[in-house]
Amino acid sequence: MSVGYILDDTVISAYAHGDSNVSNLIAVLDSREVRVAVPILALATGLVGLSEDQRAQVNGAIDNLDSIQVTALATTDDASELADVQAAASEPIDISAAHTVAVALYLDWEIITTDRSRWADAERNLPFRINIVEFADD
Amino acid sequence: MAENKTTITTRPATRDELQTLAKPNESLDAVISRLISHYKSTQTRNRLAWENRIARDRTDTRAVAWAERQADMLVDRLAQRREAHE
Repeated sequence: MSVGYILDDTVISAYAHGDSNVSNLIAVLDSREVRVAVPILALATGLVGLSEDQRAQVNGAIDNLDSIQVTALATTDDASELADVQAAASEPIDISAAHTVAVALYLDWEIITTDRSRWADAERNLPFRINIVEFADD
Repeated sequence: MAENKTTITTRPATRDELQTLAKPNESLDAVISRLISHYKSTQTRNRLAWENRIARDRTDTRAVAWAERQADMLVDRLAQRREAHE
Protein backbone atom coordinates (compact mmCIF):
# COMPACT_ATOMS: atom_id res chain seq x y z
CA MET A 1 0.00 0.00 0.00
CA SER A 2 1.34 3.38 -0.99
CA VAL A 3 1.63 5.66 2.01
CA GLY A 4 4.50 7.96 1.22
CA TYR A 5 6.93 9.53 -1.19
CA ILE A 6 10.63 9.36 -1.90
CA LEU A 7 12.71 12.51 -2.14
CA ASP A 8 15.33 12.59 -4.87
CA ASP A 9 18.62 14.45 -4.77
CA THR A 10 17.16 17.50 -6.53
CA VAL A 11 14.75 18.03 -3.64
CA ILE A 12 17.54 17.68 -1.07
CA SER A 13 19.69 20.11 -3.03
CA ALA A 14 16.88 22.64 -3.50
CA TYR A 15 16.10 22.60 0.22
CA ALA A 16 19.77 22.92 1.13
CA HIS A 17 20.19 25.90 -1.18
CA GLY A 18 17.41 27.84 0.51
CA ASP A 19 14.27 27.01 -1.47
CA SER A 20 11.48 28.04 0.91
CA ASN A 21 8.85 26.24 -1.17
CA VAL A 22 10.60 22.95 -0.51
CA SER A 23 11.24 23.58 3.18
CA ASN A 24 7.59 24.45 3.71
CA LEU A 25 6.45 21.42 1.74
CA ILE A 26 8.62 19.14 3.87
CA ALA A 27 7.10 20.69 6.99
CA VAL A 28 3.52 20.45 5.67
CA LEU A 29 3.94 16.81 4.65
CA ASP A 30 5.26 16.06 8.12
CA SER A 31 2.31 17.84 9.74
CA ARG A 32 -0.04 15.69 7.63
CA GLU A 33 1.85 12.54 8.61
CA VAL A 34 2.78 11.70 5.03
CA ARG A 35 5.78 9.41 5.22
CA VAL A 36 8.88 10.45 3.33
CA ALA A 37 11.88 8.28 2.47
CA VAL A 38 15.30 9.69 1.69
CA PRO A 39 17.57 7.18 -0.04
CA ILE A 40 21.01 7.40 1.52
CA LEU A 41 22.76 7.89 -1.84
CA ALA A 42 20.34 10.67 -2.82
CA LEU A 43 21.15 12.29 0.51
CA ALA A 44 24.87 11.93 -0.05
CA THR A 45 24.56 13.39 -3.56
CA GLY A 46 22.47 16.27 -2.23
CA LEU A 47 25.05 17.04 0.44
CA VAL A 48 27.92 17.43 -2.00
CA GLY A 49 29.33 20.94 -2.04
CA LEU A 50 27.27 22.20 0.88
CA SER A 51 28.57 24.28 3.75
CA GLU A 52 28.47 22.94 7.29
CA ASP A 53 25.46 25.15 8.00
CA GLN A 54 23.61 23.86 4.95
CA ARG A 55 24.41 20.29 5.93
CA ALA A 56 23.15 20.96 9.45
CA GLN A 57 19.86 22.22 7.99
CA VAL A 58 19.46 19.07 5.90
CA ASN A 59 20.43 16.71 8.70
CA GLY A 60 18.34 18.68 11.17
CA ALA A 61 15.20 18.23 9.10
CA ILE A 62 15.83 14.53 8.66
CA ASP A 63 16.71 13.95 12.31
CA ASN A 64 13.81 15.94 13.75
CA LEU A 65 10.82 15.18 11.56
CA ASP A 66 9.08 11.95 12.50
CA SER A 67 7.77 11.42 8.97
CA ILE A 68 11.21 11.29 7.36
CA GLN A 69 13.28 8.17 7.29
CA VAL A 70 16.62 7.56 5.63
CA THR A 71 16.69 4.34 3.63
CA ALA A 72 20.13 2.87 4.06
CA LEU A 73 22.23 0.46 2.10
CA ALA A 74 22.99 -1.95 4.89
CA THR A 75 22.27 -5.52 3.90
CA THR A 76 23.12 -7.90 1.11
CA ASP A 77 19.48 -7.69 0.03
CA ASP A 78 19.81 -3.91 -0.28
CA ALA A 79 22.92 -4.36 -2.42
CA SER A 80 21.18 -6.96 -4.58
CA GLU A 81 18.16 -4.70 -5.17
CA LEU A 82 20.48 -1.87 -6.23
CA ALA A 83 22.43 -4.25 -8.48
CA ASP A 84 19.19 -5.48 -10.05
CA VAL A 85 18.29 -1.92 -11.09
CA GLN A 86 21.73 -1.29 -12.53
CA ALA A 87 21.65 -4.62 -14.35
CA ALA A 88 18.27 -3.81 -15.89
CA ALA A 89 19.55 -0.57 -17.42
CA SER A 90 20.51 -0.64 -21.09
CA GLU A 91 23.15 2.02 -20.37
CA PRO A 92 24.66 2.71 -16.92
CA ILE A 93 22.68 5.16 -14.81
CA ASP A 94 24.12 7.12 -11.93
CA ILE A 95 24.23 5.28 -8.63
CA SER A 96 22.08 7.81 -6.77
CA ALA A 97 19.28 7.44 -9.32
CA ALA A 98 19.62 3.66 -9.27
CA HIS A 99 19.32 3.56 -5.48
CA THR A 100 16.33 5.90 -5.52
CA VAL A 101 14.63 3.65 -8.10
CA ALA A 102 15.46 0.55 -6.02
CA VAL A 103 13.83 2.14 -2.98
CA ALA A 104 10.82 3.18 -5.06
CA LEU A 105 10.36 -0.36 -6.34
CA TYR A 106 10.73 -1.84 -2.87
CA LEU A 107 8.29 0.54 -1.19
CA ASP A 108 6.02 1.01 -4.22
CA TRP A 109 6.13 4.75 -3.59
CA GLU A 110 6.45 7.57 -6.11
CA ILE A 111 9.58 9.71 -6.39
CA ILE A 112 9.17 13.45 -6.04
CA THR A 113 11.59 15.74 -7.82
CA THR A 114 12.07 19.42 -8.55
CA ASP A 115 13.45 18.62 -12.00
CA ARG A 116 11.97 15.94 -14.21
CA SER A 117 14.90 16.19 -16.62
CA ARG A 118 17.12 14.77 -13.86
CA TRP A 119 15.35 11.46 -14.55
CA ALA A 120 15.70 11.49 -18.33
CA ASP A 121 18.63 9.05 -18.44
CA ALA A 122 17.03 6.63 -16.00
CA GLU A 123 13.69 6.73 -17.79
CA ARG A 124 15.38 6.19 -21.15
CA ASN A 125 17.58 3.32 -20.01
CA LEU A 126 15.35 1.34 -17.66
CA PRO A 127 12.87 -1.10 -19.17
CA PHE A 128 10.14 -0.32 -16.66
CA ARG A 129 8.17 2.77 -15.72
CA ILE A 130 9.49 5.01 -12.95
CA ASN A 131 6.73 6.78 -11.06
CA ILE A 132 7.82 10.39 -10.69
CA VAL A 133 6.00 13.48 -9.50
CA GLU A 134 7.50 16.83 -10.41
CA PHE A 135 6.66 19.90 -8.34
CA ALA A 136 4.63 22.46 -10.21
CA ASP A 137 5.79 26.07 -10.08
CA ASP A 138 2.28 27.52 -9.98
CA MET B 1 33.32 8.48 49.32
CA ALA B 2 33.80 5.75 46.72
CA GLU B 3 32.50 6.63 43.27
CA ASN B 4 29.60 4.52 42.08
CA LYS B 5 30.43 2.40 39.07
CA THR B 6 28.57 -0.13 36.99
CA THR B 7 29.29 -2.57 34.20
CA ILE B 8 28.18 -2.42 30.60
CA THR B 9 28.64 -5.30 28.18
CA THR B 10 30.02 -4.73 24.71
CA ARG B 11 31.39 -6.84 21.94
CA PRO B 12 35.20 -6.99 22.11
CA ALA B 13 35.36 -5.15 18.78
CA THR B 14 33.32 -2.27 20.22
CA ARG B 15 35.57 -2.08 23.27
CA ASP B 16 38.62 -2.04 21.02
CA GLU B 17 37.12 0.72 18.87
CA LEU B 18 36.45 2.78 21.95
CA GLN B 19 40.04 2.22 23.06
CA THR B 20 41.35 3.59 19.75
CA LEU B 21 39.44 6.81 20.43
CA ALA B 22 41.03 7.28 23.85
CA LYS B 23 43.61 9.97 24.39
CA PRO B 24 46.70 9.03 26.41
CA ASN B 25 45.65 8.10 29.96
CA GLU B 26 41.98 8.67 29.15
CA SER B 27 39.58 6.12 30.64
CA LEU B 28 36.91 4.42 28.57
CA ASP B 29 34.34 6.13 30.78
CA ALA B 30 35.76 9.48 29.72
CA VAL B 31 35.76 8.42 26.06
CA ILE B 32 32.10 7.42 26.26
CA SER B 33 31.23 10.70 27.97
CA ARG B 34 33.08 12.62 25.28
CA LEU B 35 31.26 10.76 22.51
CA ILE B 36 27.88 11.38 24.16
CA SER B 37 28.69 15.05 24.49
CA HIS B 38 29.77 15.26 20.85
CA TYR B 39 26.63 13.45 19.70
CA LYS B 40 24.35 15.70 21.73
CA SER B 41 26.13 18.79 20.48
CA THR B 42 25.71 17.72 16.86
CA GLN B 43 22.05 16.84 17.41
CA THR B 44 21.41 20.20 19.01
CA ARG B 45 23.17 22.09 16.23
CA ASN B 46 21.20 20.24 13.56
CA ARG B 47 17.89 20.68 15.37
CA LEU B 48 18.46 24.40 15.77
CA ALA B 49 19.48 24.69 12.12
CA TRP B 50 16.18 23.10 11.05
CA GLU B 51 14.06 25.09 13.53
CA ASN B 52 15.64 28.39 12.56
CA ARG B 53 15.31 27.60 8.87
CA ILE B 54 11.65 26.66 8.98
CA ALA B 55 10.79 29.55 11.31
CA ARG B 56 12.28 31.94 8.76
CA ASP B 57 10.71 30.21 5.75
CA ARG B 58 7.25 30.13 7.34
CA THR B 59 7.20 33.91 7.07
CA ASP B 60 7.16 33.47 3.28
CA THR B 61 3.38 33.31 2.85
CA ARG B 62 3.57 32.54 -0.87
CA ALA B 63 5.82 29.57 -0.18
CA VAL B 64 3.52 28.32 2.56
CA ALA B 65 0.51 28.56 0.25
CA TRP B 66 2.44 26.76 -2.50
CA ALA B 67 3.43 24.01 -0.10
CA GLU B 68 -0.16 23.54 1.07
CA ARG B 69 -1.33 23.21 -2.55
CA GLN B 70 1.41 20.71 -3.38
CA ALA B 71 0.65 18.72 -0.23
CA ASP B 72 -3.04 18.64 -1.17
CA MET B 73 -2.08 17.22 -4.56
CA LEU B 74 0.32 14.66 -3.08
CA VAL B 75 -2.17 13.48 -0.48
CA ASP B 76 -4.82 13.10 -3.20
CA ARG B 77 -2.39 11.03 -5.28
CA LEU B 78 -1.73 8.77 -2.32
CA ALA B 79 -5.45 8.23 -1.83
CA GLN B 80 -5.88 7.42 -5.52
CA ARG B 81 -2.99 4.93 -5.43
CA ARG B 82 -4.43 3.26 -2.33
CA GLU B 83 -7.82 2.94 -4.01
CA ALA B 84 -6.20 1.49 -7.11
CA HIS B 85 -4.49 -1.18 -5.01
CA GLU B 86 -7.69 -2.18 -3.17
